[in-house]
Amino acid sequence: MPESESEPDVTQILHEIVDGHQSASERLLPLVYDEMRAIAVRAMREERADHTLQPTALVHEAYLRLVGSNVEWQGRQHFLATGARAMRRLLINHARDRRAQKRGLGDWVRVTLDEAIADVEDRSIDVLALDEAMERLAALDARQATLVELRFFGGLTMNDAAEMLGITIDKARGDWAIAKAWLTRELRKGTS
Amino acid sequence: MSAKSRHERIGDLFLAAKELPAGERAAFLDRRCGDDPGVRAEVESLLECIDDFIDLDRPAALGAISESPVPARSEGARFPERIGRYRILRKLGSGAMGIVFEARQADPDRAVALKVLRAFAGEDSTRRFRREARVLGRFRHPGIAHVYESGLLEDGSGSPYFAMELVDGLRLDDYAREHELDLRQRLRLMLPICDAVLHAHQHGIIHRDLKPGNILVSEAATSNRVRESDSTERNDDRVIGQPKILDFGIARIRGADDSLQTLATQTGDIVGTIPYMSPEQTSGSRQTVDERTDVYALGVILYELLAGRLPIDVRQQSLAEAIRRIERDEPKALGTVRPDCRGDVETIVGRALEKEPSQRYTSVHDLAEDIRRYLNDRPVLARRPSLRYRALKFARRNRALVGGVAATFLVLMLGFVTTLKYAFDAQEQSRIARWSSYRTAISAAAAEIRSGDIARARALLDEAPEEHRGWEWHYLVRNLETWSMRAELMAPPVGDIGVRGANKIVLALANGRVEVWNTETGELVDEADFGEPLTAFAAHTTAGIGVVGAASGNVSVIDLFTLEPLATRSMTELLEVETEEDEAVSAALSTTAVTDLAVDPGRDAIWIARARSLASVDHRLERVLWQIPIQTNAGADVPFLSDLGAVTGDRFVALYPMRRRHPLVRLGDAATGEWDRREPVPERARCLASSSSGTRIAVGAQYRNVHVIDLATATRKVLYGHANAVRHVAFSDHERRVVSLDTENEIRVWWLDVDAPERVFQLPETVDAQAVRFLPETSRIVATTSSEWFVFDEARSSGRVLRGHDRYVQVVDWSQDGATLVTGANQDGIGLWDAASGRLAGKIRVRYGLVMLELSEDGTRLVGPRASWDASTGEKLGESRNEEDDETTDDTGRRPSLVIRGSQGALRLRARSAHVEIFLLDTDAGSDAGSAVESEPVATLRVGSRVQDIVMHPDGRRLVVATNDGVSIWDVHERAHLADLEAHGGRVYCVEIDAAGTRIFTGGNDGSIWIWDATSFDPLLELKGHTSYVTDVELSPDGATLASASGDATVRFWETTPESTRIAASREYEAARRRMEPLVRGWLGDLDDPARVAQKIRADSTLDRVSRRAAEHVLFGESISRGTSRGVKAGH
Repeated sequence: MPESESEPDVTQILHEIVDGHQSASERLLPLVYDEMRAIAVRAMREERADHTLQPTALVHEAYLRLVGSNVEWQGRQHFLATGARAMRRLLINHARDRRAQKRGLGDWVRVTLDEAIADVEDRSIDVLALDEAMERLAALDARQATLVELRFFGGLTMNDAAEMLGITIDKARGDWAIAKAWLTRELRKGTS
Repeated sequence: MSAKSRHERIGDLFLAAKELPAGERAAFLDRRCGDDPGVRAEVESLLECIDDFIDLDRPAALGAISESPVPARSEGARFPERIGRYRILRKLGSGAMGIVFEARQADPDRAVALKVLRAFAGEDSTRRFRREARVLGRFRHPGIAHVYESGLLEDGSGSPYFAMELVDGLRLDDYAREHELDLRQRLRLMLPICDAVLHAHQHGIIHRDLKPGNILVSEAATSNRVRESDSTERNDDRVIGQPKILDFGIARIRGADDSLQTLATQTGDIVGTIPYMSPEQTSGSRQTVDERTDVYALGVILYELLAGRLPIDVRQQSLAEAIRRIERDEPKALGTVRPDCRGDVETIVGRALEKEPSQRYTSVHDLAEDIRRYLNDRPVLARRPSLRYRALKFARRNRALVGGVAATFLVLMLGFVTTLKYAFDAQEQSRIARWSSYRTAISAAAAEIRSGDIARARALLDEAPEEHRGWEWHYLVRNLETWSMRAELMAPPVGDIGVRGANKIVLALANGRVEVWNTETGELVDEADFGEPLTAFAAHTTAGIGVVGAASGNVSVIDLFTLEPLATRSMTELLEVETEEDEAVSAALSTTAVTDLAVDPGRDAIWIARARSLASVDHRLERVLWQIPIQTNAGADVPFLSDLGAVTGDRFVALYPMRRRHPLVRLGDAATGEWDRREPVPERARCLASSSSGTRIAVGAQYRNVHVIDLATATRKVLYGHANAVRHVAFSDHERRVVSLDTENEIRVWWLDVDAPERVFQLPETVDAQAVRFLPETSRIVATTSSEWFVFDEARSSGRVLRGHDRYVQVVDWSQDGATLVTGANQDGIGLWDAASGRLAGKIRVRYGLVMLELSEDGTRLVGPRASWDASTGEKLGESRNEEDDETTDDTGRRPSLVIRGSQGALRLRARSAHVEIFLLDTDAGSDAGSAVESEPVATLRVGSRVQDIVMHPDGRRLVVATNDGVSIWDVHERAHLADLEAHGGRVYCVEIDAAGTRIFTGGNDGSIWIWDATSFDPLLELKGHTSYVTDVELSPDGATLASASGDATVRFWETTPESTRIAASREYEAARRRMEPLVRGWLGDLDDPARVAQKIRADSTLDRVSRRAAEHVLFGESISRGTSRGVKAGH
């Protein structure tokens, strides 16, 4: 049973996170990512084909799924942050897939999730460019980049994100305004 | 300067400059970054972006977004020189919906305002736009800005644009202020506005977004335009300009019908819009938006024009709060703000601002007519609201003054009069009136229950016409009061809730009093006054002592039974604090107030937490056992130590404050005060409780969880279910239950060691809840708010939540007798539950989605999408590889189908993605619908949107279809479309109808459940409680209980019958289970074959109904676990 094999791993990793192992978060990411990806694929394939999955719902489900009822579980905060990171990767990977697909690749997963980034594209946000811009922002102010990740990819409210970053709500609002202006400018540079 | 600090500096300058008016920014930047032109350039480049941020505020979502309403195209940093045949001169403004330019048209040569909207997403919107645009072009009125031309840009973006008359004028409110218009002039200014709106209404166009910013007044004199009937000696129209309304018809093109959706996404635009929205708009267009919506907006505009303030000021509120206020708050009477408006003007404005559209002026014509009548000193037509109506309003406004009793009396008396009056009315009118009064009573009662005014809710329900009473009425009556007692307090309670005996609570109040209340009678039985404001309280029931702390630093140990002080001491005296060099630290330390207290049972000591120290003092308050500083890298803004508790006899536990970080759960040695350990909690801890024996800690946290840590076994458990941050937690005496309170006043009771459903209680929305605790030896809970206390009895909880699935529940079904419930959860399995007790009998692991699952009619089989199972043993009976069920052949998740039998023979209805096919069934095919041979459908109902669920009305004609675009109702015989219900923001996942066919139940993407009348299709009641989408709703066979399945991995019961009935059934079941468990295990051992045991149970005539069910449930659970272990042994 693959399920029961993976669960202790997660628990183990979550325990390590609590104990302060830095790399634990990185190791958790593939698990969270895979789970969220599986949920997204499933949701679109067999359930409600045009059901919008909000990042919070996705993370929530991944959480329920990974945690299970019998697993002792200890890392929701890291989980949310990791979930936001996973969401970011999910969208970016699909954007990449799409580009590849235009060159004639593509299987059913890609086709189904083709619509996945339609949302972001509708808003004329080049998700790959955004990702790159966020990397550059992170070099200047890691907290601002993380805030964008939590809010935009993780769907956290300003309050929750501020809470998680350990800053006041006013500070978070300021950071948010700066990050938005900064990213807007960077993305425009790219397009002009 | 490093790149990082440079970025920080740029950020700070940007934030500061952003707050300044655009004109002052340059000077500011000159001053602040004259030394570094590079920094300045960067700040400016950021400032250029603020009008047109990329849209990051709405989180990225996975899924098809074509229906989402913000199909934005970024316009780029610069605007084009030309758009179509218009030369762009300058940008006039921009918002979430588009940009407005001042432009020049060449032929004819004229100035225009060019409004470019964001591009549409689909063909439907484009078609609708073209249709609307044609209407607008034909539309001429001096009071409406003329739309010269409109179309779609041919620049590849396809963005719609409007070329409009460029109006040179002032905003309505600025105009009135600048010209210092008096009352009559202001009223007169409204007349041409009303005329213009009326003209549009006569052409079938509702504005929907009227606000002062959309009305410009040009200086052109218009005295020649004044109507004959308005002519008056007063000559007060001499300076009146010509108002022109902008954007007529655009709101509709924008698709603003679904106002809430618009709000949720176009946050940029709403700030100016919300105050002018009518309750029917903010409530999400359940009711049709019609002319009266514009009447309401005109009422708000008029009120603001006369009073200089909004009738309901929502500008500083959150969206949710603003909407709540618009729907519930009564505006301050105009006459009290502006005395010269008392009487007729107040009546006119009040009439336009009625919450219920039916109570407003029915048309703008009537509103204008009354304004004219007033100006011409004729009696206005608006009647003052009826006595009963005013009484209700009065009572609402003066809730504190009019006690529950008086309000009830008034409502009852007037209800009686109303009923009498109805008797004399024409029958049809009376029927309509009674239905409408029923609907009003239901929605008003639901609102009153939320706000905690139970007497009024009860009176409203009593008043509701009997012939219309349905499920929602019984549900509200059943859930009128989930508390069994409440009483008012004169001041907010502080610290813990103490208990004295089985039924008395001891509360310390901020006003210095300690009070003892009887929780059964609601009487104050004892009190003491400490003469100074209290800040903390703790009690130890077995020791019989309490301890109160004051702002002054005084602490008193009291006898819980006499309330006599046993010792009193100033802690400022007793506990000396070393002065620190840092001023902020000194200031913090000199704060003397006691922040928390606890009784140390092992050492006859008291723990006293103050700003920066924690001390243990003997209970006579004579000796300091130890004192430790709270070192949190200092700073006066650091929160204080709060929530102290005793653990494992010789330790204490506290939420240790941290500067800029989450508080820590720290343990210390009670004998020395040394901190020795921390218990990591993975989210921000907000509150803490320790159990009476000290072996368990419960931590309530920010991200809605309660973490229970067992120190003896070093195990942890997460209680997950609150939708909001957890504010307070407490253990029961035997440590087996935890009660938690969240920031939205929801209380949950959890069982720690047994698999029992959690209970949910809801305090009124309007109170400020503070603390909860169990009353000893009872099933009761007491909760305090800043002004009241409540007692809840678990026997009367407002909801039960079944928790046992790890993934989202997709489907729920009842057994024929309503005693057993089956659930299917995606990738998780099939659960079988006893409905009365909520106990999970067992779970069959199924590793794929369960889009459908039902108990066969005889209750022996569980039928899923690809296989069926024996309902007694959980054994798989067979796989079906029905082509139709193969997931690759159809893209509809649920693939619902139905068979109906009538005089014309049998029909089978089957949902295909966006339509429902009707087949004539070969009647010889017998009852198994799946085996019927179908050829071509005899008819197809084109629903137009993805079908999620279908249900047939018992009349055999009306088909109710849940779709991704609402609910659609069809006549199957006529193949005719009857009605549409707008629900759940469009996405409706499930639908149910009661056996009598009077009510429709729907659940959807928004996580709520709606109840509708099945004849008029009016919405009646919303049930909220799930934290994720609702996938299935199913009524119990007796129609009394609604079970709902949700993406939050739970099933919730919504009940209409008294809890006592259910509790009796639950007890009976549990007793039967205890009896049957050893028997069934024995039989399983003897026969070694679950199927034979099942036969034995069925054949045993000595078993009563409940025992047989209990036995079957035991068998189900046992055989699944046997099956699983066998499977593991076999090693696949």
